[in-house]
Amino acid sequence: MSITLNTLEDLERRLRRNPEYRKQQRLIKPYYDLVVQIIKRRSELKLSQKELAERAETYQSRVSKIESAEHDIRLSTLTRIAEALEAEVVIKLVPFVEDYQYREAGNYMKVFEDCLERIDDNNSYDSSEQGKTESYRLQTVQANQK
Amino acid sequence: MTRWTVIFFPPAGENHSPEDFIDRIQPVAEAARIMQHLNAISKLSELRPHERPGVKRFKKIYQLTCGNHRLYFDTDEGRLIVVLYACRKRSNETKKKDLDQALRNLANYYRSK
Repeated sequence: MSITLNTLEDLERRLRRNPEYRKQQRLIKPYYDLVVQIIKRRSELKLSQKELAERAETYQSRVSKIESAEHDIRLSTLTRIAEALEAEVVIKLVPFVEDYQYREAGNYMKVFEDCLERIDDNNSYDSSEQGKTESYRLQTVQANQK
Repeated sequence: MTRWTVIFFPPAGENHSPEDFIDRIQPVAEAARIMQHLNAISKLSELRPHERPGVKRFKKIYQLTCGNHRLYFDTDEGRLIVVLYACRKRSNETKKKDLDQALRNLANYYRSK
C-alpha cells in the first residue's frame, strides 16, 4: 500500500494563510535561527556545552537553555558566545514584505477567478456565436462562389 | 549537509494525526514555535537525533519537548523524520497512554509502507 504523507513544508504553507501565525513566526524565527547556528558552530569546533560555557564565561545550564530556544538571550551574552565560537555577530533588520506579498497573491487570485468566470461566460457565449460565425463564413463563401 | 525531510503519520484527517493536532493548536504562537523547532531539528542534519535540541530517546522512539507540547517521532531511510504523535504536556512525566499511541502509530507506519 502506498500513501502520500504531507511534509513540514505542506503544513507550513497551510498555517501561513493565517496572518497571526505569520506574525508569530516572525517573532520566534530569530531564536531558532540562532539555535541552529550556535549548535552547528559548536559541533564544528567539537566543543561540549560545558566547554562553550567556560569559554563564554557563562553557565552550562544557560547554554543548554539558549540551545533549546527557551532563554531570551542578552546581546552581551550572544557576543561572548560568538567570540567563544570564533565567530562574530552580524545583525540585519530587513523590512518584511510578507503581508504585501500575501495581499498581492490575494489580488492575483481574484484576477484569476475573474478570468475563470469570464472564460466560463465566453464559453457559453462562444458556443452559440461559433455557430453564427460558421454559418456567416459559409454564406460568404457561397456568395463569393456565385 | 542537506536537511532532513519531516513527514507526518497518520495523515491529516485520520485519528491521532499529528498534522491535524498542530493545525488546531491555540494560541497559534505555540504552533509557530513547534514548527520552528521541527525546522531546526531537520536542519541539524549532522547530529544524531537525540543530540538535537529538546530531543531525547524514549524506548523505541524519540520525544521532542517544545513549550507545552510533546511530539514523538522516529527516523526512517532517506533522512526522514516521521512525526507520529503530538499531544499537550500535562505534567513533567510522560504519560503511558501517549507513548503507547505513538508506538501504535509507528507500527501502522511500517505496515502501511
